[in-house]
Amino acid sequence: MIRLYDYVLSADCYPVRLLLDFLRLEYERVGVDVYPGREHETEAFRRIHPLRRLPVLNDAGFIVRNTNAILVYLASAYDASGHWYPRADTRRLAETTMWLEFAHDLASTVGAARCHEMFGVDTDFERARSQGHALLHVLDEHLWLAARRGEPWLCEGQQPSIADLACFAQAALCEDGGLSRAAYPAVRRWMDRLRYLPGFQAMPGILAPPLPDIR
Amino acid sequence: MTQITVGESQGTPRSSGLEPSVLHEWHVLNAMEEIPVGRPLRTRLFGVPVLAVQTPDGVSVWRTADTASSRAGEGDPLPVRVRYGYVWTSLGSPAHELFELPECDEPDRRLGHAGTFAVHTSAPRVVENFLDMAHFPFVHGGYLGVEPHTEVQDYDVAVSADRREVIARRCRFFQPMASLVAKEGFEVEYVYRVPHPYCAVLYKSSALYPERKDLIALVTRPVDEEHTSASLFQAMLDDQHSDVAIRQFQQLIFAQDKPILENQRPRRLPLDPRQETSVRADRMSAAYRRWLLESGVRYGTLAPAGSLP
Amino acid sequence: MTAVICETGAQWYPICALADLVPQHVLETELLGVDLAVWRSRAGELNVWHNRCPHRGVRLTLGANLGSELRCAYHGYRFASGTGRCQALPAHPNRSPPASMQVRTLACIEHAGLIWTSLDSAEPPTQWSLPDGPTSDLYPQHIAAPLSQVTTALAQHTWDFGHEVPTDASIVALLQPVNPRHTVIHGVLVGHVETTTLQHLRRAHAASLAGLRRVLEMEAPA
Repeated sequence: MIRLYDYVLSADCYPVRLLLDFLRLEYERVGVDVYPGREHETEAFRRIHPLRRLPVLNDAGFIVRNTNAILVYLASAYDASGHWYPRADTRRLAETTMWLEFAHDLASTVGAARCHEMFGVDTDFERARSQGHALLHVLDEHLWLAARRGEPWLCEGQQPSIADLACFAQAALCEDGGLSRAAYPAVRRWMDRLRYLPGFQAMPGILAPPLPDIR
Repeated sequence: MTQITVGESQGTPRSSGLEPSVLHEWHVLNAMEEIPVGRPLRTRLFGVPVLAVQTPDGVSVWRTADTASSRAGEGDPLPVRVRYGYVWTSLGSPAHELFELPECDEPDRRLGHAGTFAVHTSAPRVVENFLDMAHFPFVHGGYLGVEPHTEVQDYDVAVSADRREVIARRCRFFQPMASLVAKEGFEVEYVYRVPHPYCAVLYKSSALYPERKDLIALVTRPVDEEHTSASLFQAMLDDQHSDVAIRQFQQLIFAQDKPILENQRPRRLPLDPRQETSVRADRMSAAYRRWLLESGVRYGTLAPAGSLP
Repeated sequence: MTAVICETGAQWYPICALADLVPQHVLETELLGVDLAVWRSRAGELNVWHNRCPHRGVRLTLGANLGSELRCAYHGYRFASGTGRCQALPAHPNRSPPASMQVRTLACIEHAGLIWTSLDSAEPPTQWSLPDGPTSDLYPQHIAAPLSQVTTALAQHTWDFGHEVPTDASIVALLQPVNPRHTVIHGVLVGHVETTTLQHLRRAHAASLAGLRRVLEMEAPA
């Protein structure tokens, strides 16, 4: 049984929940009282994650910590199609890794701005925002050029990867941190492509697409 | 009283120009849980910097010169009340006590603070959203509402005899997951109560005890005219779920509303009924706006041209 | 290869590319301080609307493009392509929406692969200053600087396309004043260009204007 230590409002946990849903995997969600309870800062939680962060995954006793590692593990272990984490294609694998790292950069800028605004986390807010905007510009230009080459996702090919999920979570929640998406129309179109995928699940702060029979 | 128009600078706090109905009123700062000993709260109330400190002797609140550097004792002390697990204060001299919530004293209820969230909009916009059912199937789909059960049946709205509250009764809505204890969808009955310009309380049918109601309260603090600190708490009849689960369900619902609230324009609540088109389901929102206007409340609103303060 | 900046003349401005108005999508933009929601119906009708639901003021760009209607995210009100009139109130399925429940719409046209609109109801231009020919859209560069600064910088900009470019093609820059602090440089390549060259040019053009943006955003007031 897969168990996920999770917080419903966490942008870092959301990509994992998204992938679990796309892969149609059953799992047990353990809600951690990050805010206002600060449960992740307790000594008890240190046994689950020594750096006291979320998400943490426990798959029948095998523990994986942090968003990108969990995404890699779940996709490798459970995705028969191989498109979420394309281990067999060297170039696509490199691209996926590159954009997973980009998602981490987004988390420490765009995500940090959000945590500051929503949970009162101490951070250099103005710097987080301006660096976040610089990254979103890079993302927007990349997605625009890719779409004009007929490629709808971050990496080559016609299928999304876990890098799309990791970057999507941060981009889709950036307005919580006071970053508007009005200057990133290619990002907005890519976000809609992801939202309209069958099996997509929203989270609070991300609007769900209309029900399929209405579209 | 000068009217504030959209876009005007929020730099200068106008507490000296605050209308009496707002100045001489109790306003929430934050939950006691969020002002532990050793962690003073520095924030703003109507643009005015305040400092709240908890010591073993109790809670003190001070009006300070600025938020960054002040220490307790370096400003004007403000009156304090601790109610429902929250610290309340006033920039004026309230002639009355804070509104009552007798249900919070019932021993079999789980009383808890769900969280405090900064919302980039006016406090009346946050309150009005809390009073609205028609958005349940669209913003809270799968929880408080679901398509095609979108119809809002007629309900009753009244202002109390002393004009201090607006109340909506007989509000009914079909909910697939009204609360964590609800095993299936059912038609929930709500009572909505606005006992304060920037606070609202709802009472909804309990899935466990059909003749009683769960209580959920939204208490907001205008940080300035277009920024709000919104706190949620609940007094639930639920003997099954952990405090964390109840708390996170509340947070989930609120965080679904947040992007809607932050994308409403103008951010301040228009009190002129001609500025936004209402329908029958909006009778409580219309009554709330009219009540604010007639009570002289202006902070966080756009009053119609020519209206008296 | 020439790079041309076109004055749009009074009142009509480009706000996005036609190619950006994809199915099931609502584009978010702003013109002279007015928030706009831009979308294309399944039948191909172009809509440039004020980005504000007449009910409770929620931005329509949070909503859903259902094909022939735009649905507001807040209460599910649906507004018809073309007229902006409300077709249905989910809260009252058996009532007609009031006539005032209508979105403010703007006139718009497509030219050279871009969507143009005007905040007043001025007639669209009958003559355009763009060169004739087939067009390909280029990456729109969003810049946090006022129109006047962007215009000056563009006039002085040294284009570096880094690749052999066809001499009979031109790159046109068209400016959208978003608000007093922001401008978009829309770009159109006029002329027939084969696919690989187009891909190279698009990359080089985007990189060149990204450089311009970085310079301007260091200079523009915070």
